[in-house]
Amino acid sequence: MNKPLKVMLVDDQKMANFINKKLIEVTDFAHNILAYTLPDAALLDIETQKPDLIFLDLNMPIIDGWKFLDNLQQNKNFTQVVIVTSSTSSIDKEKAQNYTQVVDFLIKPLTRNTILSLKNKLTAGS
Amino acid sequence: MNLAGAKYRITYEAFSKFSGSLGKVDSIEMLGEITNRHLKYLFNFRAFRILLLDKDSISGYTFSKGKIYAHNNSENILDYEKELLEKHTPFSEPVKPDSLPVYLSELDLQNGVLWGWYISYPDYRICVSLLSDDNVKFNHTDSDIMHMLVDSITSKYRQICLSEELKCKNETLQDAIAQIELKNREIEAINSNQQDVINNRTEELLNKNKKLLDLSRLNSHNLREPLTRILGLIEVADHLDSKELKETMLPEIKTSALELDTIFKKVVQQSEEEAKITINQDGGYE
Repeated sequence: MNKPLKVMLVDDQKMANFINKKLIEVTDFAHNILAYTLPDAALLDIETQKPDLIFLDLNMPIIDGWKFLDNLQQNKNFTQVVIVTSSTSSIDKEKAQNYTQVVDFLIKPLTRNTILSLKNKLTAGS
Repeated sequence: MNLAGAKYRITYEAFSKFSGSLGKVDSIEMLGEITNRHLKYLFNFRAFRILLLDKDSISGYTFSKGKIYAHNNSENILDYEKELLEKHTPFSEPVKPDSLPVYLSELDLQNGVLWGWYISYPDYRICVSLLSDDNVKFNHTDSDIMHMLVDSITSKYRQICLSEELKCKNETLQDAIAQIELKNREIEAINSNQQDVINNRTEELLNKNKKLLDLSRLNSHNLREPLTRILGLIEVADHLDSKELKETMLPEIKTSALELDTIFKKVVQQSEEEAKITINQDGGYE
């Protein structure tokens, strides 16, 4: 990792953000973590914050993960996205492959090991 | 011109007129009427009778004193006609009064003579008979014109029978066509109805499948979401201080566990309802 990562967490569950933030901190995955429970607020901030990576939940009211992704594509924002969902449905995983900016599809609960694997994957990829 | 020649010419003209009238005939009744009208100009007779027999019907006329008597069943065959049909031998003999039907017994014949001929055609057997007497004599030489008359009547009769048969067959055919068309419409109606049933059923199944899929996806997410929070908290528990453990983690675990319980109950209820609907619908189709 050349520089500390800036990560944006988007999950309507405050506790999910709390847990994932904690995991990111203890695994030293990123130093700058922005947590959003409102997806539209996250979309508004994205251009000014310019995060390196977005942790995106799928099942959210009003703007769900898919709408969030569609919105990014419309705005030609190609920030890398890691989907973090509690759904084990294979349909969602297949659908995620339609979005090139989705770099990983993780199923909750995240663990230290999942974060470390992701870290390795992104390092190898960059 | 001698007498025989003049007679021949008059008879020939009469026969021409008869043939001309025959052209307009289109029924058995009319054939009788036209023959009756022209018969007296062709040869002399007190009564003239013709019986046409084919393999399953009898038809005939007796012409006398300008009247027509029609015959159409086997009871009308007279004794001497039965003999003619059997022996085929032409004859002329004195009339035996009791051999004639009632309507001919009033003729008051002077030395009446009964003449009889059997004539055969490919599809008809014909009995011709004629009554003459001293006042109205039938001459042997008239038998030629009589044969010509029988030829004409027979061929006209055949033509009428054939055209009626054809008409009858056409009507049967029309009926059959109408029946077929009716059946075709019925079959089309059944087919299209069948297609509707299949379409409806397919749509129902598609809807049901979609509902089940939705239910499965919703359950997959909703059930696991609170559970992942509990598991997530356990995962980070090592990195929380005692205050965080007590004030954040424990209440959150409780909240998530209760939430999980509520959702679990709801999922079971939903699945049961869906199953009930399916059972009722399937029951309704039995």
